[in-house]
Amino acid sequence: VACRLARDPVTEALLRGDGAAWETFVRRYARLIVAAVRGFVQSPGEVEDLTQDVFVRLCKDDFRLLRSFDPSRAALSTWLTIVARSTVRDALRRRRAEAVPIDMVPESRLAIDPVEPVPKLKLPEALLSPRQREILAMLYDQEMDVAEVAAALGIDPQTVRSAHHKAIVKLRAHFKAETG
Amino acid sequence: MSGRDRKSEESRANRALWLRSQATVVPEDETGRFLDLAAFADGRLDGEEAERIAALLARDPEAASDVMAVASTTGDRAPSVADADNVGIERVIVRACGLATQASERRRVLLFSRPAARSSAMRGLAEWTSLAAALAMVGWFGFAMGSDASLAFGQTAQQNQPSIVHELIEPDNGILHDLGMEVQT
Repeated sequence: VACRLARDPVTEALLRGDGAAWETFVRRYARLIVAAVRGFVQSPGEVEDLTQDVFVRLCKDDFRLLRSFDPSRAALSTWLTIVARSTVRDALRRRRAEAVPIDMVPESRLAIDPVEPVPKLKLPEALLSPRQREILAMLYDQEMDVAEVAAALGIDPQTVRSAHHKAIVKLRAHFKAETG
Repeated sequence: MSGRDRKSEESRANRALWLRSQATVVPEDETGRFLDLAAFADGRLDGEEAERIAALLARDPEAASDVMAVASTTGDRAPSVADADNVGIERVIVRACGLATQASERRRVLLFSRPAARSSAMRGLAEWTSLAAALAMVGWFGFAMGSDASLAFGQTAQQNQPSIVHELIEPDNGILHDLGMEVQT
């Protein structure tokens, strides 16, 4: 289990600053990233450029993104595929935006800050499962008791209590981290 | 405080927490999202977490397509060498390897060798020598200034004012001049 949870040696060496490890990393994962990019574009030139964009993103800020990878949660190949697809989609979106003639852009849009907006979510959506949100809403917005919630959802009262407890722990941890 | 009161207070606190969370908007965490999607695709999430991501996928078709695509790029239909060669995989690799070279050149640090341990004795000797040299310089400089000053005063006195001795013994204008006259008379 310990082996599975640890980063592979190449990634470890890379994050320690071993320059030679980058080439090994690139050789190992280039095909995977190319395949992910080819899900969007087919022209060899475009595939090359967008694959380079993915590697740039991985390298950026001293491998900040790569450092965020947690091997206990997913396989590196899965994570790289998700990152590659997201990078390509962002790049294509930017290209489409650049390709629009300036006369076609409403003046109000030109005043917008060029920094890409970060999508925002209400905290319960970002943190809690739909079931947890539903249970908290029933308990606190509709002021139902546990037995009523259990009956309404057709589940065991103990399941309601457990989901409630987990949700409250998550919310507390979020606000504690925010203030602490 | 009774158990009933405590329970009611806890319930009030939990309600406040729930209301506060509903009024809070957070930026979507990109790195967390990548990990969540990858974990979901690999089937490593527990029931509650899997439900949360399933809800996210239901309202975000792009994220859903990413999860679906994982199977085609990492599973049985993993990219073949021929596929990759079509886009010049070597060119891709060479370009990507160049990134690390650029990054390492940007952050290269000039390292100075650490002084050896024996140099501390040398440094002490150098410190005392320089202190002694400084004292000698100050002494010599002070002495030179003092002697120059006495010479200058001496020369000024000789050039501009007759000395007291000279005045005393000078027969024409000294204080003994009148005395000499009286003696003579």
